[in-house]
Parts: sequence; C-alpha cells; structure tokens
Amino acid sequence: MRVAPLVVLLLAFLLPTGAQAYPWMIRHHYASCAACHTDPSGGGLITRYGRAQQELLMTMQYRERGPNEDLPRRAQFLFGAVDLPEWATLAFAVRGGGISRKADDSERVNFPVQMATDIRGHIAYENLRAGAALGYARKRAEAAQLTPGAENTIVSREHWIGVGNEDETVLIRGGRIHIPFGLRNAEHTAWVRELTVTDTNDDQRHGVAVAFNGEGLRGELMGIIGNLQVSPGEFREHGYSGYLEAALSPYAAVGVSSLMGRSRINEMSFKEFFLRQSHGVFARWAINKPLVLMAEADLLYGRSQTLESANGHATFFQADLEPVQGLHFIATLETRRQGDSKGTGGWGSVEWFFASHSGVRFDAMLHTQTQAATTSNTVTLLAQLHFLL
Amino acid sequence: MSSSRRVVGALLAVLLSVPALAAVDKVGTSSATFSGKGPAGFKLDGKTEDLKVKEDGKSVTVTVPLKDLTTGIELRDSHMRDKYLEVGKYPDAVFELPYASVTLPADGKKTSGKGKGKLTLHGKTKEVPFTYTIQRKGDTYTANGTMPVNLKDHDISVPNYLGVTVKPDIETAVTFQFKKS
Repeated sequence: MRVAPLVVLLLAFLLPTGAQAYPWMIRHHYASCAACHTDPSGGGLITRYGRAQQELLMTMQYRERGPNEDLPRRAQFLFGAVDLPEWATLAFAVRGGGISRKADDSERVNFPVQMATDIRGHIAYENLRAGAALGYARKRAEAAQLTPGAENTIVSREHWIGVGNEDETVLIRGGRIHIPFGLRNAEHTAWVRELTVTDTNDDQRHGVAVAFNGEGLRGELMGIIGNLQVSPGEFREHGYSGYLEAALSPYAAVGVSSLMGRSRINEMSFKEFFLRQSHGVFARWAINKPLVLMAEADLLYGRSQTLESANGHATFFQADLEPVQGLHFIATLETRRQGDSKGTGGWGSVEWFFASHSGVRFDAMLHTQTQAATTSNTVTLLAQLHFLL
Repeated sequence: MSSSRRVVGALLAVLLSVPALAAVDKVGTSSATFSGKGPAGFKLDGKTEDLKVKEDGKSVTVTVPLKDLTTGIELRDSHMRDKYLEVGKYPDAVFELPYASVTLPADGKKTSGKGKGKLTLHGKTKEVPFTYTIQRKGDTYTANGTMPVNLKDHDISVPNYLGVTVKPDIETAVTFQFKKS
C-alpha cells in the first residue's frame, strides 16, 4: 500500500478549508477579532475588511507591493467577480485533506477527511444582524447535522440573529453559536477543545449570548439551552459558557474562561445526570512580529448521578513562527488528565498561505496516552488544504 | 574702552547668550505616536521616530514629519499619507506651546502639568490641550506629552476602509529626550 500516502496527499490538495480563527493575528496588533469576523469572538466568516487583512497580512507576497497599489479585487468574494452589497457578507469555505495514523504496533491507516464544505452568510441592517452557515458533511459532524443518517448529511454549524449597538461594541444574539471559551485556535481537535467540548467544528450550542468588544477588553457570555440538533433531548446540555480577555498591550492579552453544563445523559460518556465544568486561563503574546506564543490551561470537573467523577485538566502551549509572511512553523505541546486517563502530545506543523484565501497545512502529531496502566503511542500525519471563495 | 562701550558690549553678550542658554538639544531616541479607535474594539496605532524640537525662549515647537508615519500595514500607510493627511501638501504636524507653560524639574525630580498649545496639521491651526511629564536625570530630560486631536477640526476626512470607520477623535503622544545648553 505504498500508494496510500500519496493518495492521502493528493486528496489533501483535491479537497480544499474555510476561514478559521487565528489567535496569532495579535502579531499585527489585532487583539480583538470583531473587525475581521462576523462572529464577535472570532472564527468562521470573515468580513470584507477581514478579507483585505487576510490578503495583506496573511498571504505570501511574491513581489513588492507598489506604494500606491490598491488591494487586488481577488481578495473579495468569488475573487472579486461579484460585488456584494455592503450589508451582505458571503463565503464558500472548503477544508479537507487526509490523515495517516499509526497506533503502537497496529497497521497504519490512511483516510481522507472532509472537514467543512460550507456556505456562510451574514447580513446587517442598521443594528440588526444575522449569520448562518449551511454545509455538507460526508461524516463526523453529527452534532451539527440537520438531516438524519451517519454519512452524507446537511449540517448547519451556526445560525443566529442579533442586535448590536451603534459602536458595535455589544452584540446580543440568539441561535446556534460557537461556545465562547478559551483560545479559538485552529487546531479544533486539541485536547483543550476536545475535553472542554468547545470544538469549533460541530460543538456549537443553541442559546443566547452577549458579546462585548471594547477598548482593550473583550468577552462573551452565553446562556446555553442545549444543542437542539441533537436528539433525543436527554443529551442536550444546558448551562453557561463565557470568557473575558484583556489586552495588556497591543501585542499581549490574557483571559479567563468558565463553562458549566448539565445534561440528562452526557453525549460523550453516556453517564446519566451529568454535570461538567471547565474553568481556565489563556494568553497570547507576540514577542515580536514573527513569533507568537499562545497558551491555555483548563481545569475539568465532571460528575454523574452515581457520583462517579471525571476530574482533570487540559493544557495547550503553542509557538507560531512566521519568518516570512505566509509561512508558519508551529510547535504545539499539550497534556491531559481526566480520571485515570492521562496523556501528552506534541505537534509539529507547517502552514503556508500560498495564494489569496488559500492555504495548505501539514501536521505531524505524537500522542502518548495512559489508561489503567496501559500506555499507547499514536503518530498522526495530517495534510489539509484550505480554500475560500 | 569707554564705559558706554563696556555697557553695549555687556548687553550684546547677554542678548546673544539668551538663545544659546535656552537652546534645546534633542538626544537619544524619540517617538510620536497616535492611536485611533473604530467599531467593535478596533484599534489603530501609528508611529514615527522622526521628531524635531526647537525652543526660542518664548515657545517650544515640536515638529513631526509625517512621511515616515507607519501603522504596520503598507497599504493603510499609503492611504493615510496620501488620501487623508495629504503629506505631499502638508508634510509636518507642528505643535507650538508657550515656554512658560512647562516647568523643568531639578535633577532627580519629575514635573507634570497641562496647558494649551497650537497644533498645525493638514494646513489648519487649532488650539488644543496637552499634558506633559518631564523627568530629569543629570543634565538629560525625558519628556512625554499627550494631546487629543479631532480630525474634523483639521479638515481631514474620517478614514473609512471596507466598512471599518475610524472615529475622528485621535489620541497622540510624543516622547523625547533633550539637554539644555
């Protein structure tokens, strides 16, 4: 099966990702996300201004830009082929690739992954705003699916309507929303995202949220009524989640997060009357323009009706080095402990924004996990292509 | 030498020595910065290290050449210079404050205060308030000053780019070191 890795690699190029959240944009003094993203806490659909920043600050430049050279039209929707009205934002986002994984002595498995194929839209009329995403998932997006079945489903990761103030510092919205918690990092499978169940892929919840983006301070608090796209209702978790982040300077910010959720049956462990909590801290620091450090540490608390507890922690530390614009070398360390299960992991990644709204990323991950005195090592290689129209 | 010649000579010496005694020599690094705000927590910071200070005994003049003012994004810089500040026509921001409104500290001490001065920007002169602190270490003074600027007061168009509009009220600051000779 020597061709398998090649097939995986090829699929990575054939299956194109959408606009993610990039906390390292703090290197460009963007501690706040709301000017570039329609979601006030970042991630997902980017605004016209966000597209411009992506072109100017994120994409590799192959020639020196003229002093009076304006932004190319290709930076906008459909590479500038269509002019959208000012009140509308629209994007077609595709993210996909391939995974090659080997655990201990077992045989290596290779499989393609289609992470997101979404149409995302946002409209603004005076102080009213609404956003929605509709997409197709081949598999593994159960929490976001609208149609039944294990494969080939229609998904909606977010859909909300809200009202903001004139300064756009406050937005109150209701609907299916990304859970406001911690770093909204692109590595959505990192343990800090997985164990706090705040994965931006499909862990959104329905509820009402208030977001604030002020001078040097931002945050969002969400009252969660559950994921109404999950049935039966016993799995729906209700509670709250929120974060508050303060910018210490234009290039450094620290934050705290807190989350509590209660469900009749926990969707991951199937334990009954489950109460979980996550409380943590996170930070971003651009030491200089090329180097940004990011960290998050969360305490985990879980308890079921039988008083069985699943307490622990998850940590994440990442260094993002961008020696030339558009090319990132990323080193990530993570740890986890939950009950009698623990693990450590390391990621080495390269991300290259090689053209307008297009990027390719390669990750090599080594995870060592121990449960009940049994240790396993997993090596995962991930290749993915991001594309945005 | 007659006594009248001696008096004239002494007067000339005094008159000539006043500007020399009052002269300010800028030393070390300096910077002029501005900070603007936009919607949803948007912040815009600009900086230049080019700054000149002149003092004639009556007033202190701080001149900031604007051609090297940068915000971290080249396209934004060119819009700022060409479209809004029109640096080709109005190359400098000039702030003039009365010498008497500033108190210099003794060695090892710090003074601070506030006053009003005249800012000429984009060809328009406007009286604006300022605050300052000056710290002295030996014969070196470190000065920090802040001043609010309203773009509309100087007939500068309010910057807008792809839906992000910067508020017309801008905070500016200067930092420089000097010696008196």
